[in-house]
Amino acid sequence: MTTGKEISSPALRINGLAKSFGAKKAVDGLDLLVPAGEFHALLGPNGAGKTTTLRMVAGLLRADAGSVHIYGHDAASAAPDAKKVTAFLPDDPLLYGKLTPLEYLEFVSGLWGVPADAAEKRARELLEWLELWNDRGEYTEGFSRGMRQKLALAGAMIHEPRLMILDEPLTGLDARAARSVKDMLSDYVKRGNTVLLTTHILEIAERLAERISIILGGRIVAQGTLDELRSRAGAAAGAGGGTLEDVFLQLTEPA
Amino acid sequence: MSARPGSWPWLLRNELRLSWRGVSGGHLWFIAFFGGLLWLFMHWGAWVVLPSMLPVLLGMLKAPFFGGAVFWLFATLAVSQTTIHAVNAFIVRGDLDLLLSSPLEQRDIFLVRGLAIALSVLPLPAFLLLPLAHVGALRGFPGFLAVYPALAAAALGCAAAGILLTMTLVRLLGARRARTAGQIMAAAIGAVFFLAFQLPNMLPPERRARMFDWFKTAVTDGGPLGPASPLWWPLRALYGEPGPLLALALAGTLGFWLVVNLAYRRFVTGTQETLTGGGTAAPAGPAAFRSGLTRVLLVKEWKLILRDMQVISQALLQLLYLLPMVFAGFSRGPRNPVIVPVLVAAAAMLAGNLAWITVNAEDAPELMATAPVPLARVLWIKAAAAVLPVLAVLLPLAAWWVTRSPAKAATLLFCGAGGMLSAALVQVWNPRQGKRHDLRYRHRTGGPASFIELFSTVSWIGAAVLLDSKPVMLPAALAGVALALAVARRTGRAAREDSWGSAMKAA
Repeated sequence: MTTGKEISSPALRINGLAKSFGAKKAVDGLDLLVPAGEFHALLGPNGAGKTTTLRMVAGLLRADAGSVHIYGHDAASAAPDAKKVTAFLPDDPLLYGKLTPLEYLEFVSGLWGVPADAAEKRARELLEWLELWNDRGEYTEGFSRGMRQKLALAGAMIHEPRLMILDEPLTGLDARAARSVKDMLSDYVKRGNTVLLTTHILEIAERLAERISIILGGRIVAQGTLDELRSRAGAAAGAGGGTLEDVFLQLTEPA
Repeated sequence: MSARPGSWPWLLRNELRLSWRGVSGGHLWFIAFFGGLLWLFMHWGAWVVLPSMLPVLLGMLKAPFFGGAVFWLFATLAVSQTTIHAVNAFIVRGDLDLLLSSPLEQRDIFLVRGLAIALSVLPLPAFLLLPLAHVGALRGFPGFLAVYPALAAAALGCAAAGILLTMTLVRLLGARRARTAGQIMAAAIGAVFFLAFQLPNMLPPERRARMFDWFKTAVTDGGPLGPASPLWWPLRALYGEPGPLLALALAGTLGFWLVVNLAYRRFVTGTQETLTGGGTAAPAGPAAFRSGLTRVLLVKEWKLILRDMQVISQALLQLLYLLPMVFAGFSRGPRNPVIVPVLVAAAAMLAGNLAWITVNAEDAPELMATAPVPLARVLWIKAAAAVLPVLAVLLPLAAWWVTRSPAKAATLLFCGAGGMLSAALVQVWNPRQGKRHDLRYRHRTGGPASFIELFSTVSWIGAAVLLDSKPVMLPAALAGVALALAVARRTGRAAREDSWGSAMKAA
C-alpha cells in the first residue's frame, strides 16, 4: 500500500554519496534527485561510477558516506520499506539454473510478499508478454542470454515496483525483445512509476528519458533534459549542439 | 623433428601439451627433473631387492589370485580415470566445435583424443613397474620387458572402456547429464572397491565363514579363480607369457580400434546434438503458487539440491566411505559401540554439506540482497532447509531403536541433532559466498569455518562415545562444542556484517 510519505516524496534522492575501493574513488559525493514518474537515464563512460551508484541505491553495496532515500524511505535505516517499492535488474542477472521460469517467479513473489493468486496471474501475463510462456516448463540453465534477461525483467516486475533500477537492461536482447522492453518501460512510467537506468545505447536515453544525468569520475557533471544538455554543450562549444552522442562525447571528454 | 601441422602426431602433441600443463601447473621441468631422479633411484632399489623378491614374483604365477586382483583393482581405477578424461575431452573442454570445424579428419581427432586418454593412465604403473622390468631383463629375465606391450595394451583397453562408458552415458542421458554421471560413476568405482574390501567386516560371522570356505575352493586348481583362470591372463601377460600377452595386446588394441573406427561418428554426432539441443524439460511446475517466505525459500532450496545430480553426489559420496561401519553396526544391532558415533558423524557431515550449499552457494545473491526481507531470517530458513532432511532420516531410525535400546536412541537423537545444528550454525555465522559445484573443495576454501565445523563434529562424536562409555566425562565433549560455536560466532562477525555484500562484489 502506498503511504502518504511515499506520495509526497521524490522517487529517489541521493545526497553526497561516496564509495571508494582501496585508493580509488568510484563515487565521489554524488547528488541526484529523480522525481516520481520520471524516466531518468544515467550516462557515463566506462568506470565513471554508474554501476557502483546503482548498486548502492539497490542496497547491494554499503556507501562510505551520503544517503539514499527511495520514496522517502532511508535505504540504510529503513531498507525493507525502501526495497519493497524497488526493483533492481543487474546487467548480468543470475538466475537459478535448475528452476523453471514459473518456479523462479513464484520464488521472487514469495520474497516480495506478493499474494500467491495475484502472483500467479501476473507471472502468466509477464511470461506471455515476454514470449517465455512456451518455455515455462524448461530449466533456465538452457536459456539464451536474451531469455535470461527477459525472465529477470519479469522477476523485477512481478511485485509491481514503483522504482525500477536497471543496469544496461537491453544487453543481449534481440531487436524485437528490445523494442517490447522499451515499450513496456515507457508504459510503466506513463502509469506514474519511475525508471532509473544506465545504458551505453544513447538512442534509448535520447528516445525514452525525460531527463539525463551524465556521470564522470563518480560525480554528476551535467543534468537536464536533452534540450538543456544540448544547449549547455552547444554553449560550451560555441555551436548549436547536436545529437546526444555529440553532447555526451563533449561533456565526458578527458581534460 | 616436428610433426606436420594438421597430422595426427601433431594433434597428439598438442593434446599431451594441454594435459601435461593441466597436471604440472607450470612446474614441468621441476617435476621432470626430480621425477627422473627418483625413477633412476628406483632402478637402483630394484637392482638391490630383486634377488630376494624373485621367488615371490615368480610364485605369483603359480598362485595368481593376489597379483591378478591387484591388476584388476588398478584396471578398474584406470577405467574410472579414463571415464573422467573422456568426459572432459569430449564434453567439458568444449573445443570440439573448433576441431570439428577444421579440415582435420574427424577420425584423427577421435583417435588422438583416445590415445591421449590412454596415455593419461600410463605414468603411474610405468613409473612403478618399468624399473623392475629393466632390472629383471638385466638379471636374466628378458620376459619382464613384456611390461611395455602389456601396459600399452591395458591402457588402450581401459581408454576404450572409458570412452564406451562415456558414449553410453551421452546416449542415455544427454551430454549435460553424462558429464555429471561420468564423474559420479568414476568416484563410485573407487568407492565400490573400498566397500568390496570391507565386505567381510560387514557380514555377520556365519556368513563370513561361508564366504571364506567358498573362496578357498574357488582359488584351487580347476576353481573359477584358480591359477588357470583367464581372469589372470593380464597378470601372466606382464610376465611375458606369449599366449596371454598376445590375447591382451589383441583385446586392448582391437577394443580401442573398434571404439575409434566404429563409434566416432555416432559419438561426435550424438554429442554435438545433445550439446546444441534444446533446454532440459523440468518436472511439472507449481500447480498453484505458494505464499510465504519460509515456504517458498524451503521449496526453492530443496528443488535446487534435488535437481542437481552433481551436488547430490558430492554431498553423499563423502558419506559412502562410512557405509561399512554403518552396515557393521546394523548387522550387530544398535548395541554396537560404533554405530551411534558413525551416524552422528554422518548426520553432521551431511548437514554441514547441505548448509554450505544453501547458505553459501546461493546462485542469485543479488536477488536475495535486494529483497525486502531480513537477511538473518533468510539465513535461518536456509539452515533449516539443510537440517530438516537429515533430521527426517534420523528420526525414524531413532524411533526404531527406542524399543531395542532407548539409551542409544536418545544418544543418537541428542548428539545427531546437536552435530547437525552445530554444523549448520557454523555456516550461518560464517557466510562465505561460493559456487555449489565447488562443494567438494569447501574444506580447502572455507577458512576457519571448516576447521571449526570439524572440531564441533568431532566433539559431538566424542559426546556420543562418552555417553555410552563414560557419561561423567560428557561435559568435556560439550565444552568442546561450546568452544567451537563461540569461536564460530566471534570469527563470523565480520562476514555477517558484510553479509552478501562482499560476495556480490566478487560476483
